[in-house]
Amino acid sequence: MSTFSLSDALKMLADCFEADPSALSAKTQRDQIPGWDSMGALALMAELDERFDIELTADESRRRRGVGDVLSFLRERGALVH
Amino acid sequence: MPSESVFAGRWVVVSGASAGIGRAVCDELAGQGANLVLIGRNEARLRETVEQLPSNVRTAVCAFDLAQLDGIWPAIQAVTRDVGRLYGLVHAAGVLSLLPLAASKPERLQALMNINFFAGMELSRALVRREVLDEAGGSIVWLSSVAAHVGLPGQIGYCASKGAIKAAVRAMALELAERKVRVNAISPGLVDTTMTQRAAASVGAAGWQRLLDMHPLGLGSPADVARAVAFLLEPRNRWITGTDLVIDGGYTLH
Repeated sequence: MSTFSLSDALKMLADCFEADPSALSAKTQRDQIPGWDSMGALALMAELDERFDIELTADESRRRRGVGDVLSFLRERGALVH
Repeated sequence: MPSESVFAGRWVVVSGASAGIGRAVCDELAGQGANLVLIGRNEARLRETVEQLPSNVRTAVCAFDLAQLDGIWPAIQAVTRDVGRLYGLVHAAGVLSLLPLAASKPERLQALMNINFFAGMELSRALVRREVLDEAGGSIVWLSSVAAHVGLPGQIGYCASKGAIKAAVRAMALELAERKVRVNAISPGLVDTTMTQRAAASVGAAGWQRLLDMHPLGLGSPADVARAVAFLLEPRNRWITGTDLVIDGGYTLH
């Protein structure tokens, strides 16, 4: 599996949620990101599937409360190395 | 007429024959006397389909990736050399990508269109070549979807690919009528396949239940769709062309 860095991960999330990458950090909560709605979540699922062949289900996605949760998920799946 | 003589040994190409609706179409057509050219990416899975068919059915297995559009004509040409002229095509291969607008990048839409639409166009183009098509004419059935009839959020590209089929079928039916080639589409609702099970995970348990609730007759099975495909494909139904048969358990009645 290919891996990426923290800054790449934040860029990917910013792209999925149509957010400013500089405004995202591990501490950013979901409700602070307007684009992290149901369609944003779908965009993240597509991105993870395409880049890493990782399946993020809707129910798993709903449990992610913030950027930090997504980063942890990526570390668990071996996609994020730092 | 006994069901096994409906197709009387005519050869039919089925794309996406390794699973789901394509595999069910192979079962149904084989039971009605068709010989089959099975197309799919995974040769082992195509062989599994063949093993499920009655032993008297003649088959040809073509394992290749339909996304490689320039491989389609050589594959059909080679199979025609082996088995002779072809009567029909069922384009059952398809991909379902859940992509909201923001994620609908050109390369992703292209990948979707390649399988769902362009591969079907190339297969049709190959089938109706004068050195390939049965001299008495033929029949083509495309798998469209209720997504060609209603809007589905997060599925803009998929809806567009199925809508392209719906429009192309009408034009193709008119263009090919003179050559006795009938062209029709089936628009299924939610069918229980591996592809839709993956989509179920993406929409979540609650979202999936809402979709199920919109099908008054419940989830369809691949066999439900396959029977309708065989009906449109069979030579006796010589006056049906350009139609789009919705079979969706009542989904689009809402």
